[in-house]
Amino acid sequence: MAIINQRPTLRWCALFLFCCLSKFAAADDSAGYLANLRQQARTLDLAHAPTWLNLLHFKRHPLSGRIRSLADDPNFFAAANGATDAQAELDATLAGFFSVTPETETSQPAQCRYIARFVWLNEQLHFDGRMPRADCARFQQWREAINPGGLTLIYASAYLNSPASMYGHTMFRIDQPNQPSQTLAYTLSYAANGNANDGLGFVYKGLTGLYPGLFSSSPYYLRVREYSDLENRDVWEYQLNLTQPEIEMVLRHAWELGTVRFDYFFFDENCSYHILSLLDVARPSLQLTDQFVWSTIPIDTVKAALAIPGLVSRVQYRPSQRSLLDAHMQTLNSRQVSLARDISRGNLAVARLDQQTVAPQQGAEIIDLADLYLSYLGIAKRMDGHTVAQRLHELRVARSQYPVVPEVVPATPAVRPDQGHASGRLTTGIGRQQQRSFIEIGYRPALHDLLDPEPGYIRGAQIEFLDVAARAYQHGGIQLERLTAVNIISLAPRDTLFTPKSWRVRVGREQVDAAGARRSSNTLAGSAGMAWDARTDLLAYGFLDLRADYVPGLAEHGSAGIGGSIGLLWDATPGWRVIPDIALMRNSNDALGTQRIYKLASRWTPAPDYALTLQLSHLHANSKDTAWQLQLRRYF
Amino acid sequence: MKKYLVAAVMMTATSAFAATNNVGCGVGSMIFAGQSGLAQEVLAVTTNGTLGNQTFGISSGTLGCGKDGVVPNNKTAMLYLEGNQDRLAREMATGQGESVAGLASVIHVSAADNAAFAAAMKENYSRIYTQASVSSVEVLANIKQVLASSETLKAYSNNI
Repeated sequence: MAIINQRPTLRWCALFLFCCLSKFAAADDSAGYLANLRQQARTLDLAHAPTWLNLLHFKRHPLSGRIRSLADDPNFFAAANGATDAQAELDATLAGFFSVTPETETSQPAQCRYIARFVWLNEQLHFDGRMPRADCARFQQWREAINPGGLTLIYASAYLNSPASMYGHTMFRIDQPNQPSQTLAYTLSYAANGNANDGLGFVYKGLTGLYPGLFSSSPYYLRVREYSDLENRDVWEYQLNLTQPEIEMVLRHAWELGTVRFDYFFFDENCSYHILSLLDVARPSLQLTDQFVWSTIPIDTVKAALAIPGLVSRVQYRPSQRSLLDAHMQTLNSRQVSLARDISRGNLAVARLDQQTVAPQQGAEIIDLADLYLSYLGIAKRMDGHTVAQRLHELRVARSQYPVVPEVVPATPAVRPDQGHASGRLTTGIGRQQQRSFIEIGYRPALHDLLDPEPGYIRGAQIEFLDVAARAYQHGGIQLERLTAVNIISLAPRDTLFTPKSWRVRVGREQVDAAGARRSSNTLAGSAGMAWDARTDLLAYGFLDLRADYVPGLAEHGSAGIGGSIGLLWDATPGWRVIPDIALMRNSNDALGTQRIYKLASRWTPAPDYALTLQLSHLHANSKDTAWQLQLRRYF
Repeated sequence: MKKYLVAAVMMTATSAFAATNNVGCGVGSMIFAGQSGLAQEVLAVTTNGTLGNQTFGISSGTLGCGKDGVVPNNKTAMLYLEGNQDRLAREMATGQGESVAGLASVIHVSAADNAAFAAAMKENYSRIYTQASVSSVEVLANIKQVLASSETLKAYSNNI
């Protein structure tokens, strides 16, 4: 403070002196009390209490064994070495509480900035009148608007026909007491704050932690629109059984984390990991995040919550717009579906629907389907926005003249995503190939292939990451059978309304048959095709296949191939699936030649999280070979 | 694994990454989230739809119209309308649904009048959505008028 008055009178001097002295006295008092609190905290060993460590997001590094905070933002810590020293952070936090600076748009006093820490430390140390108090108006306003009364874990499942999104996404919904509509509640979500315009760099940064991850909140109806209406993902809502103080703790800690940067890693420190960490703060005995060290698959975090007795009190299904559309389709006959299609596509004016001899009741149902289908086309097919809006308007004005009909509610799927087989897989098999017997062991961290038990997963969708298998041959050494980086298949059936394309892509190291011997190849393969639901238990597909190989063991390393394949997914019984497949591939490399491959794969599910498979194949190329493998799959 | 995924992505067209997802406060834009094609699939793996531009960062000040991540009271109805445009119009035309119930609750319609509210929205659909392109501001004003002209729902028009 600069003193501007040149010649202060004696009176002013005295007053000034008095002020200074009382201030010193207060400071002295504070210093004493702070030392006192720090001593108490040491006696209670609060710096190593689970809640304190959770509040700081301290975790043991899986490799170095060093304990450090996952928060990557120096502003999250009161002490310079707060990220690695929980005791120093506690001492500095307590000191900070004594400085009650005014609250502004951009800064808050430490008591508000670290409001969860303040409340918890107060519970442990019982601050008395010597501790100054900040009123934290911004936090209070925020809390009041959110009005917490309950917490629901929200899981957005896969997009339809999109195996990649089988990974899922989780967030919290903070329910209000006696809320009239769930959609008005706020959500708490952790997301990478990236910029999609970064192009390829966007993907790279997302995977390597170069984007900051941030907590944010938004009304649930915006999320419902995003997931349900735009992306067509079914949503599952798991209501959590938490006490009011625990919910308040989640909210306070979310506030602390509001502006804190955690580097976002797609595979481990992702949305689901940080959502779980909030639950650990609310109830340290849960120890949920400790279960996830290397990777956090969103559905596994849901399973972890469900595994705790009594934590999940209710599960609710929120069908996506596409699921709603399918349910509408099932209430109508094929002629009515065709009428709806014609209206959506502009081939039949909605005003002329009454000339089509349909009862008003049916007319209403047809227009409802046409509305959903046209909205879907507008988004998925990127139809001209103006045309879609104009047609939807005509359709809805007409619809408002038809009667109210019973609301179509899609049935809740019999098996929830959290009830599907576990994400990890270990396999052991025996078999014979190129006249040699072998045993094979394999490991795959994620997630699902077409031969794995399907309940809880999307029909005809496959996504595998880092599938690795090795074989030990009789009279021969150990060989890497395959190391797949990514292997995705989407079999999307076509019908009256939908004509999606099916596709496959596979990248990794695998074995190819070259002139009677098996060789390691670095392979990139892609396919485009179509699929049809012949019956509910029968899915047929056909593909045009392309592949590129780099085979170091051959004189001519490279090869490009083109071919085709057809096959069936047949569920003979609920637990028994059979996949016959015929493929023809013409390779540019003569060592590989033209290959015909006949395959018959079969899977049986003897018990949950187990599967037994038998795979037969016959190769017809430069040489012939018949191979088989019997495999036991264990999911964990 | 991360490296391999990037490699997988290399094969895909970069144009797909230009897809944006901006539902800001007060922006009535229609979003087209492409859902077919390999690029989008892989994009879905990597972003997992977590690019929530339409969210409000907690305590990061204003992003859109929300302060500290919440919507101010006087804008609740407006933002609700913006955020539910398509769904709301569809449900209003049919005379029932969660979004219509949500709108009723936003403008404090009592539970007893919910059915009457939904019926009034359906009956007066063409007065509310007067043309294909109508702004949320107009829609809200039209709803206010419809309510004002209703014997039973008159009182609620003051809540808009």
